[in-house]
Amino acid sequence: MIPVTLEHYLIVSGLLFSLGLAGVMTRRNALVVFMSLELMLNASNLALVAFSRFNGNLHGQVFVFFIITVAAAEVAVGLAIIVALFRRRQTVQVDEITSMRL
Amino acid sequence: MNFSLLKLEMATCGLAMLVLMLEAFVQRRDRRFLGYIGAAGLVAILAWSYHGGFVAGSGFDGIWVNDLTALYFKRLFLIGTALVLVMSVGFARQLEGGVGEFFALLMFACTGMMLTASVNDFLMLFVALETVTMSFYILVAWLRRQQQSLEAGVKYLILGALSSAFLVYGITFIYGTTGTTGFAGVAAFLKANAASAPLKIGLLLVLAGLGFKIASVPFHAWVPDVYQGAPAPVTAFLAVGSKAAGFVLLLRVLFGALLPLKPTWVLLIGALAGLSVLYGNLAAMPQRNVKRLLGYSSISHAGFLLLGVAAADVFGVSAVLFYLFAYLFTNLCAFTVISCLAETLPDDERENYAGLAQRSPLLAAAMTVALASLAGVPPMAGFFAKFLVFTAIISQKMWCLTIIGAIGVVVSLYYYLGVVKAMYWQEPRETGAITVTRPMKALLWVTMLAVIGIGVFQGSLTRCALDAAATMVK
Repeated sequence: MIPVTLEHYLIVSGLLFSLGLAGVMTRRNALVVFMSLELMLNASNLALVAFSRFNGNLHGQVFVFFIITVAAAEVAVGLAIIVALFRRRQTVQVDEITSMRL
Repeated sequence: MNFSLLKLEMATCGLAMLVLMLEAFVQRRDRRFLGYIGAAGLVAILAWSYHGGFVAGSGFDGIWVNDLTALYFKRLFLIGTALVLVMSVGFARQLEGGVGEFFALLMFACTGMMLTASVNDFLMLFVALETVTMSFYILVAWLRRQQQSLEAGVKYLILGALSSAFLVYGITFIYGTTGTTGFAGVAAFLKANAASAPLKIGLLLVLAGLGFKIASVPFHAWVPDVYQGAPAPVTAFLAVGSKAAGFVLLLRVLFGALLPLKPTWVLLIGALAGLSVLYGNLAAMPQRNVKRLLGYSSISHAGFLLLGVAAADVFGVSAVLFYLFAYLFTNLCAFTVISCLAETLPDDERENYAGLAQRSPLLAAAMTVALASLAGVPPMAGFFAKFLVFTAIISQKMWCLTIIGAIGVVVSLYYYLGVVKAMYWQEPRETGAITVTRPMKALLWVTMLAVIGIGVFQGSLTRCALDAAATMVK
């Protein structure tokens, strides 16, 4: 069995981040975009915990708590805005919200 | 734990909660006057900062620093928020329901901005920045029956969250390579070791996250739509408060954590500055919507401010600090006019501003003063601010940036004066005087006089800016 090193965690974290970024770039549904954004934040969480373990101090783990809190607040606010948009427009497709153009 | 370092922030946060609670005891039609309570409270806190409210020093394990720069920015945020609150009272009839919450959110955002002024640690940076951004998500989407406001909200939300994700990922790598999140620790690490690739990526990602807040190219995609769609007082607050918060963080990171890499980031910031000035001004030229135009103008002003940062000495930084104050009054003057007109005009298209001078001489005059200051016409505050920035970059012999800046100034005259021309030399579409309520009139006079006053008597503000800059740039 191979020992799990810092690199393994970082590769998973990098994959999560890239997946999230790809989702934000390519998906058109605001909810899925929002989900992908959460994935990107979780990529940071994973890397932070791994770094914290291998750096030998707890700063990273403390940081994770703050990120989780902020992400929760962001979801609360974000979903409320997306629901309000759906009520007004009956759509959550981001390429259909284009009333402001030059 | 020395909590007296946080007195001003705690007072601001407490005031916001007080307004939130008072809303329950006030009749619906009187609720907008809560804005005056908020503004008066902020002015009281501002006065308190001169008499014992501000305790200099650093604390909380080094994540928090109260120096002259912090004080300068805290006062800027208090003044700006108080003026925006008064503007919101004048705008309150268009804010559906819950105006108390609107005022409270403005003050929560102000608390977050005051936190950013004292940041000395990447964790603190993240929390302070998110406090500001989260309040703005709600404020931008406030008019939830208007399509534009909601669209602006969704766009700001998605792009804002994306920039936070970049910022956090960047901080992760900085922490991973240096083992600390404190600015002092990172600076010490950079002094002792060469920056490795992951650390460089981390720093770039953090700068990208901050670039989003200050609305510089290439992180400007959200600006035009959000500026156009958000309620006018919120757009004003975004332009003056959120941008200043981004700049104080940028200065703290560059002159705190990244000081050993100064030769590298001067090039980077210089490039961003040049691009922002060119793009902001050129893209503003064909704009027809005044709020959207001010959005592009905001990108170009981010560029001018970055020019001052790129100079990277005491004069450059003090020019940035001065510029932010001048920009505060100038923008609030312009957006007060837009708020006043929001009830009468169907939208913010430039055609609707035609002949404004005949319908309301005061509004036309105030808009002219604001636009002249934005363009940098003497004797307005904006002129002296640009003068300081250009002096700083010329003394650093950055000729290329000087030329780009000069081109930007000339181009900007075209589109700012286009609005002035419409107001004074075109026939109005509709006739009939536009009435301005008394508080809005007062606000117009205060901001107009401040714009001209700062432009004519620059001495004391320049000295404050120099003192504050000297504590940051050693």
